[in-house]
Amino acid sequence: MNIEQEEKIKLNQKKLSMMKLKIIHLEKKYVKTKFKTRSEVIDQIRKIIIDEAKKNI
Amino acid sequence: MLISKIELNNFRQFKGNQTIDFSTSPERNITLILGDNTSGKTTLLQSVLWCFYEKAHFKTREELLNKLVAREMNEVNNEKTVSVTVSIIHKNYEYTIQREQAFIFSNNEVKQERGSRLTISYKDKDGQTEFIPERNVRDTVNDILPEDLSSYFLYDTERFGNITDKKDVTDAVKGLLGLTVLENTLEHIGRETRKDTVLGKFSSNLNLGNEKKSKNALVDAQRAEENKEQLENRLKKVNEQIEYYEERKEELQGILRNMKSVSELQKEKEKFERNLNIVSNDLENDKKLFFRNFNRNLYSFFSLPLIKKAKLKLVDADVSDRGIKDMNANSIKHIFERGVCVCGTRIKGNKIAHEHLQKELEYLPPKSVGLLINDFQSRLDAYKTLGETYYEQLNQSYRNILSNKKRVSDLNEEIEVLSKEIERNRESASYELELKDVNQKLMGFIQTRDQIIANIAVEEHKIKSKKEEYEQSIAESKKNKEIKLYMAYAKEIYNWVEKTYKKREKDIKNELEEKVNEYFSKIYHGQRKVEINDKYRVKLITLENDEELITDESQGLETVKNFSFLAGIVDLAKNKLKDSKNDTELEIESEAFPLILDAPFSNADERHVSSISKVLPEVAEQLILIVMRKDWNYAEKEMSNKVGKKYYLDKQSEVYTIIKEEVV
Repeated sequence: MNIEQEEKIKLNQKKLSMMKLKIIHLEKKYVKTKFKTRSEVIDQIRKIIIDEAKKNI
Repeated sequence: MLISKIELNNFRQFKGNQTIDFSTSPERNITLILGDNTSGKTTLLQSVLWCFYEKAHFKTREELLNKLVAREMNEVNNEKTVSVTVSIIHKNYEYTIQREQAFIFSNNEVKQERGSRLTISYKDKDGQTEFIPERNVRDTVNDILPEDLSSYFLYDTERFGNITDKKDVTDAVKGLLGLTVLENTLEHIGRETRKDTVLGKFSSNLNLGNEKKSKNALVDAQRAEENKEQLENRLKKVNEQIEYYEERKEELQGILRNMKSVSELQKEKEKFERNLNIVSNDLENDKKLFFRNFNRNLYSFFSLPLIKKAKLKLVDADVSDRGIKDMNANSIKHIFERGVCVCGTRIKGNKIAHEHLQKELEYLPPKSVGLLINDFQSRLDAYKTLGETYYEQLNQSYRNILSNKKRVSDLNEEIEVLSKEIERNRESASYELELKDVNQKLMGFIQTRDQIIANIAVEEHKIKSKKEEYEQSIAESKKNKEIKLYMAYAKEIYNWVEKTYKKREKDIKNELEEKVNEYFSKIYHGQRKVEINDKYRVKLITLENDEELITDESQGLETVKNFSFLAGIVDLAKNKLKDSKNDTELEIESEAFPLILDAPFSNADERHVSSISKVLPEVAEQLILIVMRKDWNYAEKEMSNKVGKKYYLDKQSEVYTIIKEEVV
């Protein structure tokens, strides 16, 4: 099944903004300090998206 | 970030504790440090690099310690420390960054202890001093000023070289202006086709096969429900037929029983028929029992012949059981080692006991397999007994089946004989023939009914299993749905970052070129302009009769170009880059860093020094100039009113310089 052909999923703009903020904050910290490995940053971004998407707003 | 103070302790020619307080005033943002040749100007810049990153360009590490101090060290005075402490203001917090390196006197020489120590503290909102945990100090330094950008802000003219040749310029510009953050975000979110990305990982968690599976399971369950319904309808009709023919059968039997001529025959026949029913039921039960028993102990059914063969093979084997059951050679060896037998007899020094045990080894595996064979035979016997009992049970069931089959056949014959007799009677013939027909039809319908019931059971089982499959797939489909939502968010963020990145990259390149040209034209007095390519490499173009030419660059021109570029990126970095499209509060902010310049004017002529001096204090938030007096003379006119602090590096000897504050 082609995911691109799926019907458009409605996104919550507040959640989306929060995700952007948190991801950019994480990336800013990563670019300066390399405090996490690439793989850890990827997992952290996934966690941000999952946690925010699950929130009841 | 602003640097407020630096304290040097025995660092190179700066013997003892010496301090410089830097100007943090926005109006007078220049701290001027004057010094003659070899007075320690470059050392001062290097001290900041060493403090932050343990990176210093000296010939040997030992030379960190002031030579006079090193000379004073002996067996008694045998420990000294070099330290650099930099105080800064970063994001409204006061930080103190300190690096210490210990030296010891040992075997008539001064040795550097392994590893320097970096500590960082800051004042919290209540003014209390808090220390950054040791594991985080390096990260914190990089958070304050990333090491890969340091050469652009802690500017060593001699070592910096030509900005055009610097390989890290692309990364530096991207890092400073927030593009690296966006570039990394794009790389991390990535594409579904790349496994080690956010989207790739989400995608690999999707189980797209389940969606089809759940749909198929539902269709199968629905089909089974329909089949079951059809079968139940058929069963209802068949039962109606059975009921009808049973009633008719009873009617016909009643008629025949009431006919005087065949009454006795009919009663006899019915008696056989009742028996036939009983025996037929017994036969069915025997068949079921046989199959149940057969399945229950299938292993014995196939293994018994093999067990019997194995027993025959082992008839002549030596099965000496002189050894102790379940005892093995390792146990005996252990008794030898511990020196005492299980019965308490001492083995050590006891020749007889020793020999007994030695002899025992002869009967045990691996020297003797008699015990193993014996044990194996015992097991074979047990299996054989079990198998034989099972065989006997099966035989019994089978004999019952044969016997009942024969009885069924005999009873049918008896019934047939009686039926024929009734048929021969003219009065009862038609009833008996109809009764036969009814019986046949009944048997047919009963068989059909049993088959339908069995088919219904099959459909019910299918419904149950397909429903379970559907439920399971639905649960997984829900998970898929969730993952698809996460992916939709990730893609939206990717698209936003990509769009922002492309726009900013283009804007930055244009703005940077504009800024660098602006500063270049302010500093340089000639017919040239600056071009910046996609990699942020700078190129100087000479304008000659409206023709663009690339010409050679002198060292002075190189300095002008470098400062124009530096001024351009510092100016851009001061601006906060906003997400203009969405107009959200989201900002990719850049930071302002101090400019520490070592011998910035050394290659420039008087005119260019003057113009550089005009530009730099305007563009940098804080400017720390480390220069020779003769170079300062050219800059003084433009800069003196912006100098907040002034120091002189007073060279006492080749190994000792005193930092002296001068009146501004």
